[in-house]
Amino acid sequence: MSNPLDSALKLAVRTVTDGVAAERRARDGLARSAERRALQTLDAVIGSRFAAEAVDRVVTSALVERVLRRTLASRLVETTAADLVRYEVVERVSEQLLSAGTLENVLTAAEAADVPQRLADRMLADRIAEQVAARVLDGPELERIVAAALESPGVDRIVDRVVDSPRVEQLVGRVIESHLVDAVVAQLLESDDLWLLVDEVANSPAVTRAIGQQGMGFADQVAGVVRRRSERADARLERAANRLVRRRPNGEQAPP
Amino acid sequence: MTHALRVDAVPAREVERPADVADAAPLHYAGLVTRTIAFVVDAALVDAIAAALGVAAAAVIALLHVSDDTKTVLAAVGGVLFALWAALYFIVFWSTTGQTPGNRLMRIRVTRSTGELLRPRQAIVRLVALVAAIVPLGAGVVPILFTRHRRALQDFAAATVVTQVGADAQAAVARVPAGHSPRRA
Repeated sequence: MSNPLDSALKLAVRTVTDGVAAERRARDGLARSAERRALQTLDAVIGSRFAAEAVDRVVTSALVERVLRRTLASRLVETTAADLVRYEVVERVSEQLLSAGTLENVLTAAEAADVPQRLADRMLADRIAEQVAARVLDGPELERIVAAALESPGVDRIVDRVVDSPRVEQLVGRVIESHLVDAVVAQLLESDDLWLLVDEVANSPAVTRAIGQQGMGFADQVAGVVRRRSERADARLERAANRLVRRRPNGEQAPP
Repeated sequence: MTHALRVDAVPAREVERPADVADAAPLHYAGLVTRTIAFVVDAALVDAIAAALGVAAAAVIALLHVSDDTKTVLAAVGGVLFALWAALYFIVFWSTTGQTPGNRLMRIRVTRSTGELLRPRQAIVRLVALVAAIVPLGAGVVPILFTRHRRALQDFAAATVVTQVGADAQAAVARVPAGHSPRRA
């Protein structure tokens, strides 16, 4: 048998609960409706030509340019950079991107959209590649990189591996055995430019002087050997002659 | 004679260097082998030049269709010219620099015993004596082995000596102008 007070309390509780639920539903509905309206308004604002023109005016205004210039000239850049470093922002973001696979997704999407190909086409079309190559060749960086690479023991290891590689040996053998070398040599020999170059080199004063010095040096060396041997032969011959004279039967003594 | 030869039998005496190549280092007299090699080089050079000129002359004569008698006369003239050329070769070199090309190769030098260069007349005497020394199977050069200053018959006849020249002195000799007759210091 239920108590009339209990029944009244249960009824009150249910009524309050239903009321709260009705209030929540009403609030959610209003919120969703407000969000939709706000987004629709935002879309309308973004899509309107006034907004575009306003943005253009703001972007092209001297004010923005001045603000940017002053911002970049101020210590804000250094402070921001210091804070980025201090709080390891880049590391944290990178870690998040890498752990979440975001970067891979971005790369996959970019690859699927032929972004690399388009980037390469764009760089080639805009002669960016030539400019980059010219900058690299003119700058000191390439020289430093090459110097560092040459001094690195890794280069020796790589060269040793390449040189000792049987594959390279086979490749060189195939190139030598092929008709390519013969054809190249034949073309070189038929080329007038080659003989002009040979004549130019052969007639150059430095080469003729070097050949002359080498020839003279060799002749002088040979003459030096002949001179030394002839001097030894002179002394030997005179010793023999003196011995022969001393052995004469009259027994005369040679002077000391 | 034999006694005199033995008395002079002193090998490679050191002497004072002539004034034109003067420095502190002493000189040596050139021996028989060195002088023989130098002479062979000179003879080869004289013969090679004469042979080249002879071949050229023979080629020209062959084109001219000369008679046999004329050829005989030309051969005699060629012989005389060869003898003249050979004589001039030695006389000019001895009297101007004291060194023939063969001497220069072996770094030896012909001077008067006083250190001066030979006069032309002295060079002629030396050349005649050289021929006289070689004709009797080279007997005239044997005294080089026994005499004090390594002198041969031609050296006695012309009062000359043949000395060795160092590398530095060789350059100094090469700079001596023709006709220069330096005195011993």
